[in-house]
Amino acid sequence: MKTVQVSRRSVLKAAGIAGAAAVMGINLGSTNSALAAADAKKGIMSKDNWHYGHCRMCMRGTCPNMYRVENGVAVEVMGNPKTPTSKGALCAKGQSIIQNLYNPYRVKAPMKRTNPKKGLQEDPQWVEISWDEALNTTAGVLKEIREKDPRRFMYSVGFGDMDFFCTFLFYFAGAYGTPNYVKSNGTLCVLHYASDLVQGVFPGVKPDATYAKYILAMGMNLGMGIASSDGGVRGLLNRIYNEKDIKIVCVDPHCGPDASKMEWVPVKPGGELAFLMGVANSIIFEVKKMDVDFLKWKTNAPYLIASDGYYARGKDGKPQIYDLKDKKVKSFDDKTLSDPDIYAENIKVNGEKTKAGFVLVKEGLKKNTPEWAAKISGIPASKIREVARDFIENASIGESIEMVNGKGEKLLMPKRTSVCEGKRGIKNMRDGVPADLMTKLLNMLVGSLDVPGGMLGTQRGPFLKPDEDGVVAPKGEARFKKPVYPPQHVNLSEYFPHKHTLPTLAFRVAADPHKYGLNYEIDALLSVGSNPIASTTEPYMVADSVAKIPFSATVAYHYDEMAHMADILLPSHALLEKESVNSYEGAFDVYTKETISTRVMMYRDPMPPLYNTKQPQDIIIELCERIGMIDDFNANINKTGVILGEVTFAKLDPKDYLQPGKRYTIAEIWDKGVKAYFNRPLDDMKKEGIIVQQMAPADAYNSSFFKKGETRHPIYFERLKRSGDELRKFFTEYKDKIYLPDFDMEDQLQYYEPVIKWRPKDLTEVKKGNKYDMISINWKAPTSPMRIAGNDQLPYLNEVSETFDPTYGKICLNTKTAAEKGIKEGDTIWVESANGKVSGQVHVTELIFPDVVGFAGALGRLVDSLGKKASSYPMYNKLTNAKISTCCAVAIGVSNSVPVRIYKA
Amino acid sequence: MKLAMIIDRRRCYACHGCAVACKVANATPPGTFWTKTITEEVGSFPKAHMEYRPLICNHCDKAPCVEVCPTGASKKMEDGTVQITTSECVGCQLCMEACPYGARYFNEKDTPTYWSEVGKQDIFEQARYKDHPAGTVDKCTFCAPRRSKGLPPACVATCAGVARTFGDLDDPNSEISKMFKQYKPKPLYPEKGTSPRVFYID
Ligand code: SF4
Ligand code: SF4
Ligand code: SF4
Repeated sequence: MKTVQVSRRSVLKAAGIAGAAAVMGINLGSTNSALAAADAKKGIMSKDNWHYGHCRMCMRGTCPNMYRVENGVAVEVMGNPKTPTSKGALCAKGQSIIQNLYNPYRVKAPMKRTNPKKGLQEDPQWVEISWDEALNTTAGVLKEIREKDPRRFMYSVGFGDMDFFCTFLFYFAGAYGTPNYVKSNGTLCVLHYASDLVQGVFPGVKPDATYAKYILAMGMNLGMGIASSDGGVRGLLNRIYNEKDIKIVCVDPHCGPDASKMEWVPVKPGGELAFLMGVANSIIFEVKKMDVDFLKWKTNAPYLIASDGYYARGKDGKPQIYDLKDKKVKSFDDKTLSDPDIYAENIKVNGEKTKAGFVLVKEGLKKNTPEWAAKISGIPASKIREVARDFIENASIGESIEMVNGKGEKLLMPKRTSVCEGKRGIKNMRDGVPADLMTKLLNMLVGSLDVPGGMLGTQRGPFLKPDEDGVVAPKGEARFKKPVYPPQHVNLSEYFPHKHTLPTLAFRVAADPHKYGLNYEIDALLSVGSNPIASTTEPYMVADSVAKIPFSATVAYHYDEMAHMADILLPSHALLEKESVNSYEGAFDVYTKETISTRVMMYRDPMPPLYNTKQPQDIIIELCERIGMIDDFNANINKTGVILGEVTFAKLDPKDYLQPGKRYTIAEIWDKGVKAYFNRPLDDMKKEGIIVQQMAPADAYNSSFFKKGETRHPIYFERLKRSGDELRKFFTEYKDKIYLPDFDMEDQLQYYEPVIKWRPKDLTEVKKGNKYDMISINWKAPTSPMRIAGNDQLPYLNEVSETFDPTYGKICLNTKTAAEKGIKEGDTIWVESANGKVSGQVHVTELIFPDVVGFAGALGRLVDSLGKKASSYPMYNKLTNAKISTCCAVAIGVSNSVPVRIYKA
Repeated sequence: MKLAMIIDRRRCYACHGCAVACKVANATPPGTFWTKTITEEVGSFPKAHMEYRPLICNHCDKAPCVEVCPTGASKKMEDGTVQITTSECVGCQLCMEACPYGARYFNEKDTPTYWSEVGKQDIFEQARYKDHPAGTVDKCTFCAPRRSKGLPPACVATCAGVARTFGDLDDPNSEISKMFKQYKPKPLYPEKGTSPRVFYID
């Protein structure tokens, strides 16, 4: 079954004999194809050399590369050695980019489905069509819907066709006028809320390993686990083995490469927050040493809190602080404030007794002793105390460092060198945001936010601003957006103001919108590089929902699950055929000496296309023209700016605005952006590949832009409480109207609290004798960290991983657990959760917590049109779900660990 | 000239970039790994961790592979490397048996391909697998073709951990000579008596 009907023309064209196509007797109507073939050949003749490019074999895409073309064939690839960050390195994924190009499972020409039945088991019966037909059919449907009701169109995007984050994609949704812009990447991205709330930064924060001496890494890797080659790991290894002045503790149920170089502290999944609370308790009540000055002047710890849990406000409406110096209550910005009291109690404001925020934080943590935490986390109390002590001893409290800023001024800046960071291992849980906030709290106890040695935002420059209360103003996902009924978004985002993305929910609602209070249906879906079926959770439910949508088109690189369900395939280039820009501005893992103040703008000079495919952005722009919305699209770019990297936006000068009525290519748009941001034309980048910029050392640290007391980080999370109270009002008012299964308002909103409390969750209830007596975990494999670039179907990666990575595609069990269950290395077992089951071969190891079932990588497929190998691996996502009652209660990210049981197949 | 490599095992994190870089640079067929990284599990829970050992042809000074080669196809070169002249190799595979490090691979197929299900070489494979004719043995050359263009071996250039240092031990100013002095790295299986030119920092 599943015949992929490709005319051999596309293939023959590559061999330079396009004329032979006619003998195949297949629909060959397209003049576009013929032109593309001619152009391609011209291109080939003129391009026999090394070309600059950049990688995007993982979602970072920040390693500049070079590739060599000989007789029209890409024959070599290497990292660009002139890059100051990656220094010419590429990981195994980056080295496999030529197989991404010559992958035979690519979509090689526009296709239309001739089998009206849609399903993972249905053969789509593809027939090749012309670009004109593919674009006109798609544009025709989208135009009609736009005129009727643009909300009926769902636009699903993902990492697959972005050469960096988001690229051009949201311009299209905005111009079209649909609210239903749904990202399929990011179901695990709980990280944004707490970083935005506490540090006002997107997408997150990273340890400054330039100066840090102690890193407490929770449920994460520091670049090794993902096999990053962007320079962070190199710097970290220098610190560990050359300078030998850093200590790193990895708290994780599984020991990966990072934990192997550092200290591994195994934790029972679900107990991470308890561990962090135990550490905080030990610091506050046992070690009793903190950066009190930071708490007084750089946090809201001294803000007086009324009995309702909100800031007590003075007559001027401002939060109040008790000044120990003259024993007076003052507004937070009072110029005479000289000694803010973080331990103030029984202070009367407006006749009511108040307490300093920090007193409440302290009281909240009182019972969370190391002994208590040990029981839940499986980490001995003595280790918890050791971590607390080391965290404080290495923090350099009171020390400072002199640095020069961009204006040439010398600044004396605090240096704090203990940091705690958490990643998806602790965040993708019911209490993910509370756990993330607890990591921030630890950092605030030692003052290590936005200072040398501390936790720094990915964005650079003075991104952070105080709100009217003098506390960091969130800019993104921590901002409260008023909930609305009836909802407009198919993902019900009106109910979840702090969500990142809810693709699974969106498809659940799309299948039955009226039940959820939407007054329209979804008539069409355009998917660009997204795969909500394989990459999120509840894959079969999503596939059924996609099948129900009357029309769907997919901008497709390969025949994946989304392509399989489409009516029209708009084939997109492989990576090396895509022209692209990207900008490295901030680290993904750690900042190090050689990367902290460096910005690298990179460019990919494209190969002529091998098949009848197009640049994905240009497909979208062509659709805009055919739908008749090019003016809206151009206006949207003029308004937003040209995005050149994850956090790099180029605002255009009005004189350079895109003109109405004109269709630009994406290269022309980038050219405008690069000129605006870097003052250079895109053509220069073809010659040089990269533009490197260095910022002044002090400017890399946000705190250098603010004076004492000017911006306070919240350690008392008043905003979170406010969100919860607002939501409670809303859900109470509409409780008879809102349809939301698996939603228990009180259970959900109890997590919206100013002081983090411990609550048991399904994972902490797992024990021997239960139906589900184990916990599943999943981590990034170095060769398969996420679903992108067809990693899981490229033979280089599968071969090297299967041969040399004992965990790849396997199910890992602790030796003791395996023995208890009578399971041996190589046995085939089923892993079953309440949501689904998967089978695979067992790898028995000492590197995992007992009673835990571990899966490495983003593997497994539901179609075999990507080759048998890709579909042979167990698909972890079948085990999880997107029920509101198990997702993170605040950021609504999917819980990535679930109770499971195992048995022999 | 005494070309050699030092591999700092502490700095390797098993990204497998070197293995794939080698495969692309030298266009080796499926199943062949001129360089590779082995993962070893050490210790027992909770005090367990992984250690990694990148492996590569040691370009031994007393290379048994050279000794056993009946045609003289395998030879020790003046720059200190061990090379195979493919046209002289008859594919007897004696060298593969003689090598204690498993560094040599036999080219079995006429038109090997990674896309076995599709059954057809891609155009990279068509263009580049010619260098590995069926019925011959080959192995790491310390990237002779890249060196001739002034580039370091592919595994060295791509290593994000900077775990691999390559150079001339006869040149006292080379980085590798300095590292040799500082770390006194050890070869793998010295007891085999092959005098390897690849050294490890543990
Ligand atoms: S880490 Fe690897 S896959 Fe990611 S951009 Fe760098 S070379 Fe490419
Ligand atoms: S490692 Fe093996 S193949 Fe290489 S020189 Fe030594 S004996 Fe010969
Ligand atoms: S490239 Fe370097 S870090 Fe990666 S596996 Fe090879 S030696 Fe180890």
